[in-house]
Amino acid sequence: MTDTVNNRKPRRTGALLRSRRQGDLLFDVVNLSVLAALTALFFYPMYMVFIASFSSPTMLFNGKVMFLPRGSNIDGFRRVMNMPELWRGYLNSIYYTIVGTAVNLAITTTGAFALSRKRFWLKTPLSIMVMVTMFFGGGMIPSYLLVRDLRLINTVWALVLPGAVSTWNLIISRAFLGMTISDELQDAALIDGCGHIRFFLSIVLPLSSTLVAILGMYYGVAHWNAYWNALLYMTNKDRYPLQLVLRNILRMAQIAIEEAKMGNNELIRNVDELYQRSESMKYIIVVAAVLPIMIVFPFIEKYFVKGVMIGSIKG
Amino acid sequence: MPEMKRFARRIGREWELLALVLPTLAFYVIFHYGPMYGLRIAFMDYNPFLGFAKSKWVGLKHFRNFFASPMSWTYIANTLRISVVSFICGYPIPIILALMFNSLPLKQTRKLIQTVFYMPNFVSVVVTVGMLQLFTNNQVGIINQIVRRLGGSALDFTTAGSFLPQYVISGIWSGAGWSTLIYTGALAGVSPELYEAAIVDGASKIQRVLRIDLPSIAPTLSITLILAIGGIMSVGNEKVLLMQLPTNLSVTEIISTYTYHAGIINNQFSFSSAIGLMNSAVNLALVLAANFISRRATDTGLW
Repeated sequence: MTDTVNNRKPRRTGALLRSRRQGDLLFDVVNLSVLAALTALFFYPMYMVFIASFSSPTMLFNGKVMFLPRGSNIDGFRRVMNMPELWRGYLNSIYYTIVGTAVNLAITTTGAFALSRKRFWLKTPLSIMVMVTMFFGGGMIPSYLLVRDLRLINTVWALVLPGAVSTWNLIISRAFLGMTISDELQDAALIDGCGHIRFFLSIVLPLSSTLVAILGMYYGVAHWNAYWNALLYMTNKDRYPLQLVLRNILRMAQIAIEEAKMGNNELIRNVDELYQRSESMKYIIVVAAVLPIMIVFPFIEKYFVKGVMIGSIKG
Repeated sequence: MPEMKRFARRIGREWELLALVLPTLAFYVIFHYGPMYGLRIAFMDYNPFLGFAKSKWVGLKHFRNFFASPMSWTYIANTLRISVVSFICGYPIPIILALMFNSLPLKQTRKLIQTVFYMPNFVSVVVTVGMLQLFTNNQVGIINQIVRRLGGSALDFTTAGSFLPQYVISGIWSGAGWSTLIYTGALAGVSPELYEAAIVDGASKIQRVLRIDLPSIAPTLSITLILAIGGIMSVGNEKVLLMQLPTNLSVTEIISTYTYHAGIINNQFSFSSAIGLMNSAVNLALVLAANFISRRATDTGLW
């Protein structure tokens, strides 16, 4: 089957070219130009934040920064560098992401391996138990009370344990391991006296580096971007992850402006300059937050895509 | 004797599998089924000092209170408005994008374009909303800069009426590209022979899109449709909460943000849980109904 397709390939492109009529050419041109325009539109916000962070606040807020950076914003960068809460947030987020992802990987891979074994007597009941949680859950308050009663508030575990396994990731891992680790391989190992745990550690894991990479990236990005659990479970400002620090910085001025607007107009004129400066700093802060992901994304994109593809096979 | 030994060894192996699955099992029992059991709080007057054991049972009191309050209907309407408008504007876009990607003849260009569309999905919601608020800043945001330059008068982005367009457009920016993947996956599975046959028969590119591509993603469409309908009453609170301002609360207080405000901020644990429980029950019913209808009509469903 594959052979015939391969053999036909040159002829197929030939046929394609010959049959390309004017309508098809028009289709391609329209398709490509609409997509190009949309791509520019989707790309611009990121680009804009980037050039705005490098531009001087006066240039930026007088409409001089649209496509290229203007002036310089060394002052703003210096101010941002001197925000201790931002750096603490950065370090906290790195710590939470590493601990969280490690726990995620350990639990998800072991659980998915066991659930991918066809002859495991608990396979079906446990799978049903897992699936149910995709459609129904206890919700925010019971979860909050549980975390509080377990005395996890203000510890790293409040951000790690409630999301220790993502059901979606467990399902794609189970599908992946079910496909790649065949029963024959398993039987061969078992006959040679290799137990499940040793089989998992010394054969399954080395064979599943792609899966571990995919899972690690999904979980890692999720931890890096999360703010909700921290909002619920972290009350100590020194423990805030970056996203929560960001939210508070971005939000504070927003509220302050609303309040100023509801008060008298004189105040607004006085805060104008201070306000422009703080808006300009926000651009820098936003760039600092997305930069890690923007830098690595083009390299890890294919793993994310692969993850979705595995999921759709057994979705 | 050897049989006994073999049997014991097999049990030993099963125990190893059990040990491997134990952390997962413990996680689901504690952090998923634990809160489900904790939902009994919705039928109590939970007092943090008395705990679960000593708090009074009050039956459906909190459910009645919720429906007795006129504001509740506003929250329900706000939730529906956000999800319906997001659905109508957001659902077709990934489908069209996927079809456009698939028809691109140039592989490298296609990759580059897809990367640009995927990226926003990995920008955190805090940063997305932060960017949105920088751009829509009434005084100095880039949108009002452009509006002024074109001779218009500055728009006010803090009003209740301007919330929904901002929410929907930023939502499309974040999710549209990544949502195409489920469709491009289906399109990648189309047999090349179908296209060959179509070309031989003289089908134009548009005809190929309409007669081959579209039907081949139809089952996927019905699945995403079920999920979308099932989620019509569940608008997440993470993004809406970030976008709430004193000036737009009349349209931005939705069921999920209200449970947050009532439960976490005002410590009405029981009342808030009752609302959450009701919302989850409705969501579940909607998914089941959508799945049932889809099974009847098209023979595809989630299960």
